[in-house]
Amino acid sequence: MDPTTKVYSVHEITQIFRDLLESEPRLQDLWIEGEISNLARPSSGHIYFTLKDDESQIRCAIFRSTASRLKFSPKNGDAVRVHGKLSIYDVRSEYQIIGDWAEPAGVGALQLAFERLKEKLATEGLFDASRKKPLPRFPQKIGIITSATGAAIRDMLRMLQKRYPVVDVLLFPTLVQGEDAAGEIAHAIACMNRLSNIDLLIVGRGGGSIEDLWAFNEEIVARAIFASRIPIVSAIGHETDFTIADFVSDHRAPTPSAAIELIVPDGQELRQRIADFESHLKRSIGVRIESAQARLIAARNRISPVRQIDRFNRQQQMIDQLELRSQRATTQQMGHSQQQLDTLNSKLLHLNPLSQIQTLRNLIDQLTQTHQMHIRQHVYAKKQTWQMASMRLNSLSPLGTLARGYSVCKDLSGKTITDASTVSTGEEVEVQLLRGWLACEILKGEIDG
Amino acid sequence: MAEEMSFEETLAKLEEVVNHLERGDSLTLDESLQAFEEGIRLTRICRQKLDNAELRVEQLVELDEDNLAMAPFEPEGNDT
Repeated sequence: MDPTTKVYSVHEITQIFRDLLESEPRLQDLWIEGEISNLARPSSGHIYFTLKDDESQIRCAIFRSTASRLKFSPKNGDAVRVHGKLSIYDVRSEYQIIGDWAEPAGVGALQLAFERLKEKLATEGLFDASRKKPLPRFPQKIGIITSATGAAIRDMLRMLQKRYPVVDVLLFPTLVQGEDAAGEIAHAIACMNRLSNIDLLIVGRGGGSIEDLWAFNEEIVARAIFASRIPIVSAIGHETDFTIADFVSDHRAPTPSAAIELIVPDGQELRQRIADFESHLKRSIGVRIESAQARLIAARNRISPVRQIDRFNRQQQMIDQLELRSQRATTQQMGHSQQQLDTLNSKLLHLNPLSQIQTLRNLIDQLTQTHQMHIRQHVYAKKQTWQMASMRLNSLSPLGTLARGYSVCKDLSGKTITDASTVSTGEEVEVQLLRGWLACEILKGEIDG
Repeated sequence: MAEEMSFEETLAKLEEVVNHLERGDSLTLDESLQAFEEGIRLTRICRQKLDNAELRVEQLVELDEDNLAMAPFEPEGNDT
């Protein structure tokens, strides 16, 4: 060998190689994606692993300071995307990636994006319970935003028809997966909000992979839901799928069918309520009729004349007929035609005032009788009193004395003469009798003993 | 007349009539009977509405940026 030939040490070679690597900018600031294997985490806190794809593999090191900043914990089998530079490990002359950042790739990347957006929107208050709008008790018009061809719309319509078919449905067909889906869904929510009569919106789709459901994790959809004036129920995928849209919406339904159960009452329950109302009505009218009968009987007992009884019997019959009619109305209501009911109704209207008038007339008759009796009793009592008084008066009057044959003697000045010595012979006096008077002349006066 | 009331309105009206009749001590017999018959009529309408209702489904079609139109909607593959 030529002694002038340069012989390198092993270390020198690795240094040259390092220089080469480090002078190539493409290798000093790169992203590399692959699957993790041979992962090691020694106590130093550094992470060592091999990144591989179908054809090649490369060593990778992430030092402690970087490792502690990572948003996930790498493990064997994870698809990851590492940022860093290519370098050489002198000890083994092995080139390797020195990573200064790593994040999940594929599904893991979606998961990470999900967590980040969720955190951001939560901080902004988009999930606050205080911002959730209540559901209307009986929606009349439901807006649905989903695919026109998916299983979700079919399931929801079938469930609506079964439970509560009295609502109207307005579908806004959109894509529910793929790149354009989020934009379409957000647009549909905004459009529905410009319509005046939508009580409630359902936004959803059937089950699928996390990628399939991704549109519902997009920020644009979250913001559209938050801005909606109409209450929104999210109905996305299966029970176990949670999307950002679920967190922002006013209510989350685990599946599209469950959304229908959540928003509309059950037809069976409603039928039960109607039946309850019906029995309330029957009970109330029963009480009414009984109390009317009781009043009538009480009135009859107060009035004795026999001729009244016929009239009361007639009224009793009328009330019985009303009662029968009302019973018939309850038992036949389902089968009856509107016309029959209207006829019954008009007959009732025709009959009932009569019965009222009759009752009142009877009351008036009764009151009049009582009144006349009172007047007669009053007059009789007065007359009695007067006769008694008159008799007493009579016994005191001088006329009574005169009637018994006594008379009153007066001088011409009208003064009653009670002493013979007060008159002289020849004087004229007047003698008052029971009927009429006499002019007399004194023939002789004498004073007793 | 009241035939065009929605199901919800009819049910609310029925509830009102029931309460009116239950509490209405001042009602004459005639008024009570009228309320009763009205209530029975409403229960029938409610039942009919539930029994006969066909779900009405329409879809929105965007004609252009600002114009939406309604069109009837028939779900595909509706095998029921």
